[in-house]
Amino acid sequence: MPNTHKHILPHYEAALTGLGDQAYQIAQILLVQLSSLKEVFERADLNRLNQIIAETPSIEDKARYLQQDGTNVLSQFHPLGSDLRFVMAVSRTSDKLMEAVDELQGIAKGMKKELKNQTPLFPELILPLLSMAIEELRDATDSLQEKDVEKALHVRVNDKKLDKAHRKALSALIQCASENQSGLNVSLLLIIRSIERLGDIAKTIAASVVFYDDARDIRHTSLKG
Amino acid sequence: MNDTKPYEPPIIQVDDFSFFYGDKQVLHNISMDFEENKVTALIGPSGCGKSTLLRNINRMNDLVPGVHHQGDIRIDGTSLYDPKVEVISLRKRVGMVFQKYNPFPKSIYENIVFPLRVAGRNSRSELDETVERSLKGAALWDEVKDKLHQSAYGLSGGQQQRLCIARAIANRPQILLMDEPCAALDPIATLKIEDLMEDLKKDLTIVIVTHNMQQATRISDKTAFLYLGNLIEYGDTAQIFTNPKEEQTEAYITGRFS
Repeated sequence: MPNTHKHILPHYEAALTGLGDQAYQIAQILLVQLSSLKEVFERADLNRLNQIIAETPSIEDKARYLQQDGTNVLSQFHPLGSDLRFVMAVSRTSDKLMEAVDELQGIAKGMKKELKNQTPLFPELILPLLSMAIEELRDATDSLQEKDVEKALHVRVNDKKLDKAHRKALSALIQCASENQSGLNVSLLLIIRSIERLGDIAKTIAASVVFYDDARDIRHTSLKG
Repeated sequence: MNDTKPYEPPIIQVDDFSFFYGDKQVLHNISMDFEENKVTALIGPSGCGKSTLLRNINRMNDLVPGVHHQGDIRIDGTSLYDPKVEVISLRKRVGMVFQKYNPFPKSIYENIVFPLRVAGRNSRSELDETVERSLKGAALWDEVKDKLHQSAYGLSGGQQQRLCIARAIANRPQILLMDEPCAALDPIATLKIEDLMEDLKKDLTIVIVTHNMQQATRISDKTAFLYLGNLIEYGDTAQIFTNPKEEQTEAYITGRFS
């Protein structure tokens, strides 16, 4: 049961608010980069792709600083109750945002390789998947910022859809390879795997919002549970 | 195979207990059980009734003029207020340690054996055995074994408090009540007392009043939150400090209390 009243210590309140704001800002930067990837798919824009790859370390740094700030709040203020759960949720989110940056970089590097080799990128397969993953990540990080449990729970539902679409895309790629008697395009396989991982990351962030709200760990429970 | 935990009756049962200083009611219908060999922390803002409840467990409030109570407190099923219960024998079973360490102006040795001497037990071997056992129990033996006959006032604050704990356990009580035992100690001495409590609970049940919530999370198995003389919430310490059920508990432990 998160508390809505102000803390007696204003600088503690500010530190907690700062953690949430930082997590949200990092997520926004990540989402912009992921949306840019969509444009790269559509336009095969190698320059933009290089820019994305160059910018990823700075996002990772921001997520690392956020994790450090979370640790500082733990050691300075010894949060308890919903404050403790919030710091844990933000800390888990920062960890997951770092993983998301890794996946973004993996997708971008895989695309670069394919663009250089002038291999078809199958945007009709990849783009819908990427859009779904972006939506999931947006909903998950919005739900943390807005403390919206309903939205967080909905991310799990959407992730099921992404998993299903991912399996379908895999089958299509395999079928395409066998029809054309060409080998499997491993880079493309890794790209769609990374996109599916982005969905998993969103799901974990959303689960930490539920944990923050009522200390329930839903990570290993079924949708019905 | 049956995985259910065998039922262990609580050592202390507080049953619909209310307490009054004259007309002023300071505890309101408190009901709670204290489990054996566990540390239970009583937390809450000043004046919420934690110390009053603690002091009632060995009838320390009896001497306060104008006090009266309703309801009951039982130890091992026997009411503390049963006319057959002698307060002296009750306090042999229920030791107490206070916020300000209060050794007697005597030697370390005489501090420990004082309760035995009062009871007329003067056998040298029994006294020696009690001193060694109690000081070892209070993790003080190694520090003072060579100066047992020196004044207790020569010890540091943390050592004096551990001496008081040694004195409190000399009579092998079942229960140890601790009223902010670390409030006057530095962090190192505090950690020594906390570590000691972990050892002591193997043999006795500890009830501690503390304002230090980090201390409560470190040392206690169960925590009770009191407010304005009411028991607001009582449960496993991990649950109380990570996911309290009551809004007032949440407000208190997160520092959003007005």
